[in-house]
Amino acid sequence: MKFFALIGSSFLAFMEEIGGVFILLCRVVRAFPGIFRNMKNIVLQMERIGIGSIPLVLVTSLFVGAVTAIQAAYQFQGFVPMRYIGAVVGKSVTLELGPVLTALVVGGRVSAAIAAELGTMKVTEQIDAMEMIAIDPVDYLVLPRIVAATLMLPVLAVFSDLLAILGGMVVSKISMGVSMNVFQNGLRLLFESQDLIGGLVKTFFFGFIIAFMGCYHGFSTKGGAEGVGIATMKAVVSSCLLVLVANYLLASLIFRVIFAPK
Amino acid sequence: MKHITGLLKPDAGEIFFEDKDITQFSRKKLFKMRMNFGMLFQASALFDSMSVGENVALPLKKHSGKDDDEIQEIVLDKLRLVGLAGIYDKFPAELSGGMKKRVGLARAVVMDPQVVLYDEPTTGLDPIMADVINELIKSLQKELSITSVVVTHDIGSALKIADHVAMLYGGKIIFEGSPRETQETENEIVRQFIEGRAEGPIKAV
Repeated sequence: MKFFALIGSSFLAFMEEIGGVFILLCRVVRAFPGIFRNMKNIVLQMERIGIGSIPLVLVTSLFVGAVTAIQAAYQFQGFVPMRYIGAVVGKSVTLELGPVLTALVVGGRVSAAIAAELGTMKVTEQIDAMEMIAIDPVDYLVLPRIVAATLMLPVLAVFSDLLAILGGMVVSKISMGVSMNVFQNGLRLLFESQDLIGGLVKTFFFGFIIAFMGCYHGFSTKGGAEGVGIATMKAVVSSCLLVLVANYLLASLIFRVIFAPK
Repeated sequence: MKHITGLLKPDAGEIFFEDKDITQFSRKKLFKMRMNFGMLFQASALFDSMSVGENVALPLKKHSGKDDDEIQEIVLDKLRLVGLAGIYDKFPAELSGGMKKRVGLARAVVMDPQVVLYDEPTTGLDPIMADVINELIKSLQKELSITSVVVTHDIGSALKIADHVAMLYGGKIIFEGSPRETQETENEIVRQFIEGRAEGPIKAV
């Protein structure tokens, strides 16, 4: 019997979580028309989420591009001429590595920051205080963060694509002796603008997921310091997992349906 | 208190404000109703990303439609009322508990509400500061003619500021009366509480 009780209670907890997510989602959608009243907050959050994440994204991308070049060269040796290395780096970065790794590192940084901030506000009754002065916390706290993250993630992904390709190019030159010219020719050879567009479109969704998960877990924080810790952890874990799941679904939609191979 | 202001919805029962049942209110109507309310939270609940001035000004900025100069004038006026005119630009983290409470109080009354709710206003303060808050609650009630609802376990404070005392025990109101009646009651539960005894009808351990 204990076994069934356990299954039942975890199922209920799961459904409650899903319900909570949808309730917040509905409130966000309903608050959306009032978005222009909060321009100041949106700009502030864009600065924090977007500009604040640039150093992290740049360093991550540089090394991701570099390692892609190294691994590609390792696979190539003896089979494929090194002049194709630019093509491989370019393809893998614009399609997957740039957008997804940006979303994962920024997701960790941003969803944790949002969940910790809103969670602390929740447990110190600041959210209640906001409700009491008749300000909707969804309007004032959630929407600006979601809008800012959704708009800024693609921007960060552009930086990431650029830096990763640069990293790959530099490493190809230094370690493999592939000149920049040859690398760039390889890059052009297989480059398709739909790869770049498809990769960047995905990041809008990733940005939304990251901020939304941070806000949701922040708002459902219970207890004190421990509760804030748990909420932060849940925010990071769920945003990273959802980014990966969404990435698969979006890639299927974009590259199997919209830009379907002819 | 969270029920009175609609922050929580009761499982059963009704709550009336101005003869209207607020448990049936939509969010919009609740927000409108809350403009008539101010609330002082137990831990003050100041927004710690904003300065004291911004904290007190926020309700006015969102709802009054007044310009910045007018708002600043009102905010300074309310801060003066709680004896803290000089800390406009400080942040909540730089303030003591008593000062936070007073800033919270200034924020609670900045929209000139009809009702102010106080959640344990004297908890965590030294006796002198507690009395300062008591005096403030009394004077605000007189000067701004507001209805005050205070939840407290500080008997001295309750007897000093109240016109009407009710005691809640086990989820029910077991006693109601003036402060004088409270002190003279034969009710064993109330007696034990005001005398602060461990033995009696209330079993703490």
